[in-house]
Amino acid sequence: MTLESLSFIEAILTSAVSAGTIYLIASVGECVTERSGVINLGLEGIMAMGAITSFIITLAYGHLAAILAAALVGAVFGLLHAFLSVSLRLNQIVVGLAITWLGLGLSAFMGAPEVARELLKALNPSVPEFLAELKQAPRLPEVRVEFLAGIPIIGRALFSQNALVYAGLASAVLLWFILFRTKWGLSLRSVGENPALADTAGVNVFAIRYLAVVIGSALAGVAGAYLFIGYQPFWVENLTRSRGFIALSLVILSSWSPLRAIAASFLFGGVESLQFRIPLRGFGAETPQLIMMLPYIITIVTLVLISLASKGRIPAPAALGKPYSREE
Amino acid sequence: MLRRSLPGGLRLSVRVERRPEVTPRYSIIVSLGMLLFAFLASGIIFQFLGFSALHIYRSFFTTLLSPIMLEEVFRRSAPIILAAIGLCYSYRMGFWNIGAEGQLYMGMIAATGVIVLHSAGYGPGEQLLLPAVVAASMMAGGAWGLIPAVLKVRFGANEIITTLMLNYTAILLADFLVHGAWKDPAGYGFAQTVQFPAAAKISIPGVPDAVAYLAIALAATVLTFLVFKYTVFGFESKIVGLNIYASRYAGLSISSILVRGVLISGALAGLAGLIVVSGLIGRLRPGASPGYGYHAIIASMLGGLYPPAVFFSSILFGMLVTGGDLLQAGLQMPKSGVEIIMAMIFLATIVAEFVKRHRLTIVVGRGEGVA
Repeated sequence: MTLESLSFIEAILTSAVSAGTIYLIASVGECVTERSGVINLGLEGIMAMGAITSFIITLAYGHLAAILAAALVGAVFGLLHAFLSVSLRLNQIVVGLAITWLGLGLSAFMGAPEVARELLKALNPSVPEFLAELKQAPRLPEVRVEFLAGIPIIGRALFSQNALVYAGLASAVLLWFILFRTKWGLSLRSVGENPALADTAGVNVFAIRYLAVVIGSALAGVAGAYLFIGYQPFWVENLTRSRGFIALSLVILSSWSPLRAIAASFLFGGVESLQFRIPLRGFGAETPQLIMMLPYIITIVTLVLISLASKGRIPAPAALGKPYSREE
Repeated sequence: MLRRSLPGGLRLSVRVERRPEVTPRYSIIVSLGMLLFAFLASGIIFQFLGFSALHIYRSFFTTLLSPIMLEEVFRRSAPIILAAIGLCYSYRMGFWNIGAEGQLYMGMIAATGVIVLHSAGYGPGEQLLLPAVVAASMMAGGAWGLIPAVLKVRFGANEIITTLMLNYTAILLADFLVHGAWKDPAGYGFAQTVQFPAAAKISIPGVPDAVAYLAIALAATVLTFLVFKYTVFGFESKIVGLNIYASRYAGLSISSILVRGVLISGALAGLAGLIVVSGLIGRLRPGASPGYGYHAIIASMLGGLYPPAVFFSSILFGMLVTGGDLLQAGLQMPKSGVEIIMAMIFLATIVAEFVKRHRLTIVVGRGEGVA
């Protein structure tokens, strides 16, 4: 293999991890939520809220505050979801869609220059307002792990990224461990499989579902923050472009395991980065729309392949999507 | 049940019971109440973000109710009504079709394709142009709906995700065509197709366009009402939505009913696309639909999937879309403000379902006596 093609592979891998982290953070959180029996279709809107929050807060107070604020905003949206779907036992699909709508509408509104400017002024008057109108924020700095980043081919992809990439990987491992190796994780999974039985065994079904939805939503908020300050620090309306829904399908692809979500997410990160690489090679440089369709079409194909591979028996948590009530 | 101790030995308890029966009158009152709540809640958000809610709503309604704007409201309501009525077929079967927007775009693309062919000297002549664009748009919308329906019954692929992915695909396809092969050579380089000729436009002589579009939407509404109420298919589709297991026992072919229902959904969304592209803007261009297919989702749910109610709730969304442009032009406020109102209406619609089905009693008393 020539040196040139090696560096090409290295570049592809690096951008696959970089783009894949958007999906990773969101789908790892959704794994936890869905394992408790709640499906959160609000992911898309919560990501959008995380992105707009990180935009304005980064300008006002810097990156760390922005990430925390995005998680907090995500958690608040998660609380709303949990209240409607767990407490009021409303249809999770409709609740999630409504939350997506709210998140997309609110984020578009807040990102409009005239609103963003006022928000920035209210939060930190010492920052020049025009910064909000430029629709840009400083990108998260790269944190290079000195020795490991030098490993050929995979070194740059895994060890020369920003802090949120590492945090995403760490959260995948950590949440996998919690879900599958701790008592609390067992309780959470039992709530998603058979809430009535878990309830009889003394597990607080409602508390666990609330917590699982809030954790998933907070991570979706962080995924949105990563999308903006870690990946594409320029605000456009509809920044998320359905990535939240793609993350939902990646949860199915990873059969509800945060560890497998790493592979699934980086795979889709690769597809996403191809969008920018193919036009560089001459195809679709003027009209890139056909290439931009790739992630959407591949998502559909993936869903079909999963069904074929599992012969129609997709191992979803048994109580997924079903509200729990003690009366019934 | 929820119990809280209050100071002074008082106990507050909130009791939630299932309401055995919901009368239509009660249902309408709750829906209207929640609608009011939605406007109130969005008003609070606007106020919080530094805009005067009172000012927004006042100029909203005084302007929208003026005759010129009212005509615009009706014009824009027509595609929403058609798509929303179409979605009723999907939703009553429990098929979560989020794809009306994509199906609408495919309708626009197919109709425009006929026009592009026609202007190049091929395809149907003047007389057949209108039937051709109607057929093309409905078939394309239906076909686009057919994909997720077949993927669902054949592979169990989640229709929410597939329909959404197909929305983006259709929108990108439209973008691709207007930027490339279908770009009007005499269009000064703008990304848009040739204009629809008069022969391809839906119109009734002597009547404003808005009325003609509304008449078509009304016809679809009435027809759907009759289908739901009096036909075997209407009955079957309802049974499929109510209880998929029972209907399987009853020997219904769920797959076939599902596919047919979604096909109709798509066809009506495609027809909505024709009205947008031939009537509202006269040609295909990027972003031709401001999300009519998405508005239709909330409109159909707000109307409780009951066609006459969906007709009117869609007009409310026509008002909101028109009002969005007003916000931008008149109040220097981002257009997306109406998206917030729509989201709040969506949330309020969902909560209204809970309020309708349950009875809340709040009791403040001393000691344990009342619970």
